[in-house]
Amino acid sequence: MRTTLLLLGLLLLPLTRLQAQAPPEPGDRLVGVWEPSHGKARVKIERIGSKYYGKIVWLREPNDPATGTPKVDKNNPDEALRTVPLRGYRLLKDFSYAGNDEWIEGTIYDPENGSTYSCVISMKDANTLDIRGYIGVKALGRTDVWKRLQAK
Amino acid sequence: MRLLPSAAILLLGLASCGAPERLTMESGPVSLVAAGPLFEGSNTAQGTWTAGLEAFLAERGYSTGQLREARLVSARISGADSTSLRGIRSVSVQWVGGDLGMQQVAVRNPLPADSAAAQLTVAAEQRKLDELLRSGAITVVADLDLAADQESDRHVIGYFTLELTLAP
Repeated sequence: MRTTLLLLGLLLLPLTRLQAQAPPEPGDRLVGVWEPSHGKARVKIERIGSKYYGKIVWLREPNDPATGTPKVDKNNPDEALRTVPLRGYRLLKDFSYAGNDEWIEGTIYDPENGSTYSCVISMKDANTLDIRGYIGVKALGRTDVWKRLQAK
Repeated sequence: MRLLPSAAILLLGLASCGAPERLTMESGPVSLVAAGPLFEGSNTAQGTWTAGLEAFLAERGYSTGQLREARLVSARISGADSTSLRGIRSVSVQWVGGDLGMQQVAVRNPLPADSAAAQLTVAAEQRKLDELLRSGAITVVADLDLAADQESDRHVIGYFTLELTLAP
């Protein structure tokens, strides 16, 4: 009897785990690990609630050459946050899926200068993103092409 | 001479307005879970803090309409079980809720090795935390930088203290 219960428990465990996870949404195609064109970093995009966020999970040069220690967000305009590790930094924030393979109303942070820009993301195909950062007018922005790390 | 009545009215007005009042609001323990398997590097732990602002203020004789400002003044993290904070190299905490974008509110890098709890440095620049509190549920996101892979979930607890400024 105990063995049967144990087996039943083991069978149900993955099911309860699945139920605990949020159900997939159409915008979840964006979820995954992506590499910007400069190839210096990799960014993992995940959904939190109904919005999408991306954080750095890999850096080609993880250490600051000047100090030999892991890079931190030394250009953050808020001095109190300049010890935030760059590996793990959330540089894409608050994207909403608008349909037609577009995620809008987000922001992108550039750790090179500590600036945050408005941003839209367009998926060109399952493994390619156009990331357009801009100030004020979308037409005056700059687009970078990101590639999915584990191609589908 | 003509200025005297105006000055008197101004003083009278100031006296009747009174100084803003301050309250301290504690979150209590906020459970944050990163679902395993987890990998070396940054992993996302999440939890929800239902602030209960209306009830908190009502118990003290205030209404939400009187809330002028909210500031996070203290943030602390502790381990939820015997693993304490072991193997976590750093933690950074974000809050998001309502129509407001995610904002970074606290960080500790590095965490003291093998500590059971740690005080975090709080952001100096904070945006519209009063609105965030009014929105009800705040999603707390903690990025845990793990020193090694682990199969199981990781569970930590956040404690937050806010200072509320209220109109009398």
